[in-house]
Amino acid sequence: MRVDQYLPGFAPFDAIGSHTLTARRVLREAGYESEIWAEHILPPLQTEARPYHEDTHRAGEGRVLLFHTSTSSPMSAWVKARAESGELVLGDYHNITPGQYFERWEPAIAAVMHAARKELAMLAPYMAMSFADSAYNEAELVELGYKNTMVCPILIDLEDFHRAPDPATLERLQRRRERTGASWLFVGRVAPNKCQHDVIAAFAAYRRVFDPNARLTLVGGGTSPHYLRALQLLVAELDLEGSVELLSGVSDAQLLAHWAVADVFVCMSEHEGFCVPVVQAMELGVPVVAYNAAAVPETLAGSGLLVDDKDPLVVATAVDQAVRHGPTRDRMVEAGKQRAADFDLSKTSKILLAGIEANLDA
Amino acid sequence: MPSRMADTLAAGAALTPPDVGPDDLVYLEKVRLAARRLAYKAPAPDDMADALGSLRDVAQFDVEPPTSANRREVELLKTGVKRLLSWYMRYLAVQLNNFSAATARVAEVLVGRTEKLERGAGELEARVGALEERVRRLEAVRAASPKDVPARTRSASR
Repeated sequence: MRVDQYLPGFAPFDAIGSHTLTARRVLREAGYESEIWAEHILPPLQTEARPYHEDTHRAGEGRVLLFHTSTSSPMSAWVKARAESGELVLGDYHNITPGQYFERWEPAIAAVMHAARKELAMLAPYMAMSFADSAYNEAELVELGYKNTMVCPILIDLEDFHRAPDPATLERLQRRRERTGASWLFVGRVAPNKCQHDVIAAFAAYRRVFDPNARLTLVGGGTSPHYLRALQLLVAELDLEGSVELLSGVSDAQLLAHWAVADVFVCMSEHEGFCVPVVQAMELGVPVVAYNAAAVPETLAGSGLLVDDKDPLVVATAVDQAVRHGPTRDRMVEAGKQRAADFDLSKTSKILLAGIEANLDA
Repeated sequence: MPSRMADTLAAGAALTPPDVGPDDLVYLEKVRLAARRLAYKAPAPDDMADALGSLRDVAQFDVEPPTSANRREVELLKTGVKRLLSWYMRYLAVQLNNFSAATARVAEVLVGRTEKLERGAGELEARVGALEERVRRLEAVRAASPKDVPARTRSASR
């Protein structure tokens, strides 16, 4: 029996790319044949997937198609045609950023996101069943008319978070850490829905009121050059040059070095379908302060401090509580580690396999 | 999945921000305004100031493309290409930035004029409304006493 995965963009250092690779491993270990097919395959993953238009399998060959949805792609129409030809198609919804967030900064990306939502709605009748990373994502599917859905958290191998950090980066950061105050960290694409500007604003308030030597590191590749430019201007306007760094192209090992010196993970994102960095923070014992929106409260499940108001001083005060108030910090770290264990691959892989097997039985 | 910590903090409820001095208050207000400027606002189709802000956001062309990459050789390649093309990109970018600045200026002027016209139209509307009301009142008076009007008209003509 085959279970093949399809996704528009297969990229390294990407939550969906990692999830797909882990899902393939889980499927193969469970005895299924499994391949990855993609529209765009980015280096160094060329050997891990094949272009989807080279797929020559036909209906009746006894296989399941698992289609990952997160953006617009001609693959949606192709998947629909496969379903119409009688193949069993399952979905895996990782959420689509609402296009409105990009309209102001990157109108072309906004158009892609609007198209992606239309494609998601179009596919509803063709999916035998659809996984969703969170109940938040599942609710969107149900609203679009998806009949058969189930929550299966994104597959994460928590062991990956405990690999050795890049030694050179770690040494540099530890040396710097001796001279500076609290280290704030946020990890996520530079995108308007992630609201890095709110993290910078809260950090400015924190430096002013609580800790003038604090540092903020924002790690993430860019999807919006104009928003990135606005963030750089904001840092200059608030006199934070030298204490805020915006990093992209960071390897997994380098990122682990940043986690190793982080005192707090601050997430002001307004739209997340799951938020893998929150799980990474919890697993690595870094307390989380986050804005109470989208799937973030569900992923945290009470294991961090949630704020309902983004006022910079309110967020700064919550961060101060998480960083300097020992008992609160200890409880957050402990609760975070327990919560991260809920996403252990041994548990989440069973959910994925059970969902697929239920459809095979049907 | 169970919630293990009940520390969900609503603003101002569980956390009380500390008292801050006047200088800090001024700085914090600056921070709030700067962050608000970048915040997502629901698009309003007739909000010209918002549309103008969006134009300003995208009116600057950056000639410093990011060169970081996951692989060192790719980063070096990007840096090399950037250096080779920098004179050409700058030449184009200056013209594009001049053009976009002029376009933004035209938009600002048009928004200013439109707002002025809208204010004028609002005043005119109020004046027309007042006049209509006066006409209505006079017509009501006339309707209430139709016989008196010809008499008054006759006496006035003499």
